Amino acid sequence: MSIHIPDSLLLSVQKPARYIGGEVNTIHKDLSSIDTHFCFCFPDVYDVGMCHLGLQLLYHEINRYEGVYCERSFAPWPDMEEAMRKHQIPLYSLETFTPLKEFDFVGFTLQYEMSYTNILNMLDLAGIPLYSHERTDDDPLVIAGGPNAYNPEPLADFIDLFYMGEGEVEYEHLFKEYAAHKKSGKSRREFLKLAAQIPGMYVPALYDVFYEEEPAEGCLHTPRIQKIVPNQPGVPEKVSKVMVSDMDSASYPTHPIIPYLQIVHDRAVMEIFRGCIRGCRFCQAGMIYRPVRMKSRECILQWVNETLKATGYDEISLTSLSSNDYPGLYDLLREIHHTYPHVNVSLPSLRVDAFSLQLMEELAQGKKSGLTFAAEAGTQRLRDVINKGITEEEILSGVKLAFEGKWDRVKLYFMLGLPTETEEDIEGIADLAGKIVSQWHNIPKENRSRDLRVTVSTSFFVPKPFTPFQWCAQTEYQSYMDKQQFLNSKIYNKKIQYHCHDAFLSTLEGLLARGDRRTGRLIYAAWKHGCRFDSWSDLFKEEAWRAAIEETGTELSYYCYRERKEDEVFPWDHIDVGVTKQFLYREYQNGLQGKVTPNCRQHCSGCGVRTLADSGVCYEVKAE
Amino acid sequence: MKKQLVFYKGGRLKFVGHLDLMRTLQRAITRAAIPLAYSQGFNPHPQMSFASPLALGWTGEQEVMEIKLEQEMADDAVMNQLNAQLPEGLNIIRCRTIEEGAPSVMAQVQAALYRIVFPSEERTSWPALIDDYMRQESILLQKMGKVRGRKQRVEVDVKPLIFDWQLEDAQTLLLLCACGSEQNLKPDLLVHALYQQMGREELKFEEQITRLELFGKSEFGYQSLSHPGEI
Repeated sequence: MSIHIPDSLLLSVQKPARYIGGEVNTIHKDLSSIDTHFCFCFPDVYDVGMCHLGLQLLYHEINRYEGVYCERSFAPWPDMEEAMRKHQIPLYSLETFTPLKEFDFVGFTLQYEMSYTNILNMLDLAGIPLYSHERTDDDPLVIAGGPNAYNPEPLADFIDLFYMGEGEVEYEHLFKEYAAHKKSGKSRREFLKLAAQIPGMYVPALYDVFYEEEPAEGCLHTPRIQKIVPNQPGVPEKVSKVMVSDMDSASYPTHPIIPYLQIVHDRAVMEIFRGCIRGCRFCQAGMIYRPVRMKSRECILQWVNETLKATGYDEISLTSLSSNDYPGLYDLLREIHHTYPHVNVSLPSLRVDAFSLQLMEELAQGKKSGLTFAAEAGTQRLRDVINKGITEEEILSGVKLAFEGKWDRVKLYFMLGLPTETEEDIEGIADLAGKIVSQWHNIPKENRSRDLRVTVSTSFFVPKPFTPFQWCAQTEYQSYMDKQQFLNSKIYNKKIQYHCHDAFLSTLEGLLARGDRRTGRLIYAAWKHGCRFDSWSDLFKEEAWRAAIEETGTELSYYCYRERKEDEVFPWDHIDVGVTKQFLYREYQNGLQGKVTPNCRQHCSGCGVRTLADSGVCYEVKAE
Repeated sequence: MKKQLVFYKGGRLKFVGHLDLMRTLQRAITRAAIPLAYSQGFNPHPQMSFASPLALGWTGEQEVMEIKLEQEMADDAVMNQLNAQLPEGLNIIRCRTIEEGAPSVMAQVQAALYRIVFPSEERTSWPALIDDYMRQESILLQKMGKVRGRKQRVEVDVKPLIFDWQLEDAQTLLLLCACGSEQNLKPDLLVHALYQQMGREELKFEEQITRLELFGKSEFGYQSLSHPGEI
């Protein structure tokens, strides 16, 4: 069945192009030749979801499989949701306007915690029962993947099947099993048992959670987890992530879908490597995407060429974590720039030094954009605690060069509430910004730009699973706000602007990030109270979340404010991302002692991923 | 060299706004390897201009745009290569080379012919309603305008902007009215005013508006921009 959306309805909502599909480079297949119909769902609005490389990657990867058709769906904006509910239009896919309920699989990508209520809302709009145990053989299988899937437990009641790892690897296998299962006519539960045998697949219903008898220390009624174990034979005790071993032979979406609508990042994207060698202790991406795996220069150049030809974009972004760690980055950029002079090349994270400044000047053709430093902490001591390998000297010499090159805008990013943080560290943020202004004053007037603007932005540190800081207590809401106030009082210079915001969202993010199977009730209650699009500040309903916390008896003292002991059983302990718990704990202790850990290219610190990986930086010859 | 392109925009492309349409066409031109010229200067932008933006939700049967090319290219090649890159709902109908120095399409356009289809509703006699409405001495519309530099609602008589009209059938109005930078009448304003007079306050967007053709003016009268030479 194909849904028809009346023109009059589309004209009554903002940006109707979000809901029409039919963009250039979308894939069309004959539905009668399909065994497996998959709908990739992004739990945010179209304009945000379409910027996501993972969507383009999986869409084109899955559509290469014979007998499988991957379509897309996004969270409708509240005006469209209202119109759809009023006219009883169920959530549909953008390629064939098929209701989601008629798909074999509905797959959500979990990119950030504050999108969880949108998942429930999308299921509800689709008419699919929210709870996994309420679904019947007539309902689609609901699968979820992406970085947040590594702690699947808060969503365990709603998702039938989690995919742990990189999407290119096991979907084909899963769909083959599914096609065979469909012919067999067996029940959905039978299929889920079968799926649990496939590498990377986690079926939460096949695992039971046991709790201790007494509440955790300092908590009223929430006991710690004792263990999470399979509830039947043949189900693996631990689920290991799956990953691409050779980036050059993995597929790449060189014909990405080109939205009509101007989206948040409206440009071509080229991934140059996956993973990060740095090991910053607060960073989840730096741990879960290990090990670093490079794409060859030849491969990148060829794919850039194909992508630009297939899209007509005039901007391309080379993406990765920590771009500077790509060997031969500057030559690569120069070559792209010279081959396509009309195309703007951008990098999301470039370290500032003489080289990169010269390069930025070349790339921007005289335009001076702002410089960005993610210093993360205000003192060297705290930067050592978090293993952020950037020094004050590097920043100051970087800005000096930049000011001499007439750059006049500097953005600085920091986190408040990091472990071991003192007032001195917070003051250090203001000091560093002040020193940057002094650098500018020290340059003779004729050699610098006329004015300077330094922007300091702080976010609140949120401990995440699979990081060395997963044992840490999260800073309490009031304390977050006090720290922010304290920093604000230390910034007097008129050239420095301070951006700050409310901390409640960070508290919630921490709660969901380290939540467990009991947290599902909270997400459900919040959704019932009307929460959706929680990451949009104008749609965020603080009171509704507070009411849901109250109603479900969720103890922030348990989930957020409690420092975990070494023997804590985490809700995600049965998931294996390669990096071991022992390594993470060692790194936690190193951090508390301010000991810096070298990066993966300098020295292998034995994080454990080498046993899971068969390629990447773990197998490169070290320079030492 | 300059090319004038006549194109159709309809189907689902109705819901793509003018700025998004410009980007869509620019990218299609790049993919089609048509050597689009860029302006000189600090912020080069593609040399592409439109006779008149088409509002979101309307179909355009014969919209007109001009592009400037860096190198010579045959009209057929431009049309065929570009059509191969365009999504369903957008296609080039004609392409011709125009002389340098000719006034831009944007400056030429003076009038547009619209077809407005009203929703079929029982107990609504559109012909009589439309007839009465259009035959008024003056047709007053509320629109946003400036009075002494301040933006506010103003009432204007749009009767002089309506050059001709006729009922094509019981619920279809053909309307020839002013279009362009000098004076412009948006036909949806007229439709909504008519609704209001009928006592329907809420906008339902149920009418279908198609812009059939754009016209310039010469000593002989209105002249189609998409069919030069015809009057």
